[in-house]
Amino acid sequence: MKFMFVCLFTLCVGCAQESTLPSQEAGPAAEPTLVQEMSAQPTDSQLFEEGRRLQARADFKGAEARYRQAIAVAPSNPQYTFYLGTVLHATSRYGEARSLFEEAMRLKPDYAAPRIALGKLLYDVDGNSEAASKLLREALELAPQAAEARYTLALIQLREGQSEEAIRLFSELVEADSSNAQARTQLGLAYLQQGDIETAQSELKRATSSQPYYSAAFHGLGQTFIRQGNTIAGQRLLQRAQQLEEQATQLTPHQNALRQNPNQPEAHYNLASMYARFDRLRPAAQHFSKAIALDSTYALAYQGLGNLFLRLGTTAEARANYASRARALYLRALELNSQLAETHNNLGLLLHRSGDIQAAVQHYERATVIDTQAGFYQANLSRAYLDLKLYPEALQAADKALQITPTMTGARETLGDIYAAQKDWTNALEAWERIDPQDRPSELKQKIAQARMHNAP
Amino acid sequence: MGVLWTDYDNDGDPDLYVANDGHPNSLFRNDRHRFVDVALIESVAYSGDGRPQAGMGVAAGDYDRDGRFDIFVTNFSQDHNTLYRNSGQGYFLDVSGKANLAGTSRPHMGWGTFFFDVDSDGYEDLFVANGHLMPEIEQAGIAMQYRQQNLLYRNGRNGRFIDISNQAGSGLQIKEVSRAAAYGDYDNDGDLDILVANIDAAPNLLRNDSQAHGNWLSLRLRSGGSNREGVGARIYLQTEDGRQMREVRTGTSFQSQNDMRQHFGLAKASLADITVQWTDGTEQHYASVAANQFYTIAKEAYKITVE
Repeated sequence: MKFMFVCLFTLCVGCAQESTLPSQEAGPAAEPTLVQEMSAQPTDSQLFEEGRRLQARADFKGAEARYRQAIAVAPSNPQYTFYLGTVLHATSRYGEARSLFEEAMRLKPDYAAPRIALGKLLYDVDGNSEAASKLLREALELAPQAAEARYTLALIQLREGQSEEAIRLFSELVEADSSNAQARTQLGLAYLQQGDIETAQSELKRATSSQPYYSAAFHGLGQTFIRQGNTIAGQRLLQRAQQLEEQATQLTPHQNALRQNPNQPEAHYNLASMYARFDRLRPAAQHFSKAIALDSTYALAYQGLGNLFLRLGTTAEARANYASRARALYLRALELNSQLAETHNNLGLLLHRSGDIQAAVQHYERATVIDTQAGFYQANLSRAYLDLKLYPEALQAADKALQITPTMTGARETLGDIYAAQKDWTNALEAWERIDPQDRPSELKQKIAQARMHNAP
Repeated sequence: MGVLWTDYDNDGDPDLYVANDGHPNSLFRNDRHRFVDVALIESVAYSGDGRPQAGMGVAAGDYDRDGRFDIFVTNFSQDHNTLYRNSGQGYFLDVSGKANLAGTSRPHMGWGTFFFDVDSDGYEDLFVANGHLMPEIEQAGIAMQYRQQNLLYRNGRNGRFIDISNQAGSGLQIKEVSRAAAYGDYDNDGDLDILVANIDAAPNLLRNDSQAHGNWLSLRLRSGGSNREGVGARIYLQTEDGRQMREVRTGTSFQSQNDMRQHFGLAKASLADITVQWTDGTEQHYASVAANQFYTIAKEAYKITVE
């Protein structure tokens, strides 16, 4: 948590600095492409680099055009041919992709990359494991450190039931890079297929430690516990795997959008919001900060970052420290856009907690005016009025909260508290007892008991 | 997509397996008073390398004759069809690669599927109907086509299947956009034929004209009450070669219904002992039943008769 704090703070300071940058740094519209910068006759390497840039953004059509232009200038360049093949592979034009990989190999016989790509293609599309494995082994002879070739070959062996060979290859990968969670996960799954549960468990535990958001590792680890008879631990891990998979499903469209629009602040903001929803605060903070870096007037991103700070801190001192940073971010957000109801509400909460109730009331009221359908803004306002002993105002706000959201237990408890503060035990009891007994915290139960005593004839 | 009722845990009640295109598959274990999804626990939700697949059709059969039903799921192209072997220890194993069903299925998009003993050698073989979703896929080249060849695998009796599609006659060379597939002995000649439904084309009826098949025996169950065809009943058949089992099922495959008669291959055996476990727990035994006949077993009469 402490590291998270330092990281967030640094990024936040960075945001403030970014706000002084010239506006042309802000977005994609202002960013000239390499081609635009080129002279009338771009060189083949310029075209190739532009193609690579477009391909990284998943603009395959643009990348294909640049690569073809580059090849027209330098037809015997194996790299251009290979990359054109990768674009065609990515767009499912397998026949032409295959020809291009073969051509790249012909142009440069010691070129490993097209062998890896062709090996993948032959297995994925043709199911030809023998030809694919041969190509991948050739690639490894040419480039013994090529992790992609080794991983792909290992995966093919695993899928084709050759788990011993798969284990050997995955082991080589994790020996070369102990942080390779994907390879370690597959290594664990290969041991699982072999029935070596203990080794599988050990590898999968290490995989989940180094990559805590990789669902396949949790799934495999859960299986090992179940096969050892520890069903409770196994089920817990399987549930975690399921959660992570659902998260990945929801994150993927936002990650893809960001890949296509890496300089769009909204893309960073949307992805950050999704990470925040899943309590993945570090990437959330990174993307909120990036959104601010790209557009220093992006009020929602300041709010999002402020919300993250509100969730940090394990000690009172740390929480106070984070709260002051959150407050600064909320104020900045409202400076940029005074119509953000959530920011007003959250700032109100901060002020309320710090004892500045009058100021909190102002922000709660603003939130209720901007968003008239959010019951919890009214509930917060009601609680603040209660603390100020302004009972009629408190009652009015609590009533509104319950009109909007009749099931809001917090508002109903506040309603009871308002009556109790005025020693109206009958109405207090009526309000509190309308809360489902299962939703009553112990403090509320005590209040109900006391009210009954007061109310007793 | 595909749905299968089968008693995978041999506890006497039917469980439900569902292939969920693009999502983890489900296995609802029947705990008598409720169903519990145990697909994750039983390792039949994902592939062996931990991915959800695009499950389409489903089949169950005891291909390794260990007394437990295994599950086979067809999937999208560029992925493999998955054979989950039932370990009997509370989980399944993805043995698609070991069984030679992984690489061979990758160019195809699988739909209807079933285990059936096509050569009556006593071991269940496997059929898969194929056809892509997108007509434009043919522009992609290499092996991916809209119209695809169906697959016939012979059980190698050693845990592996052998792709015999190209050696199994002209009917298996047809390329269509196949979906549903069912088997049955439509000409009552003692071997199992195949019916395949296709998109934008007439169905294909593939008559089994194989000369190289063993003895056989076909059983139809009859019962009083509402379950007249004995759906859910399990049949064991014992010969000197070992024990086989079948379950009377409706549905399975993909939008299909197989012949309700249960076909057993006997290889060289001429006699078999039969045990029927009815869904109400009743167990009936029939000894030394002669091969190469169609029989009806009547529950209430406790009687087996030649059709």
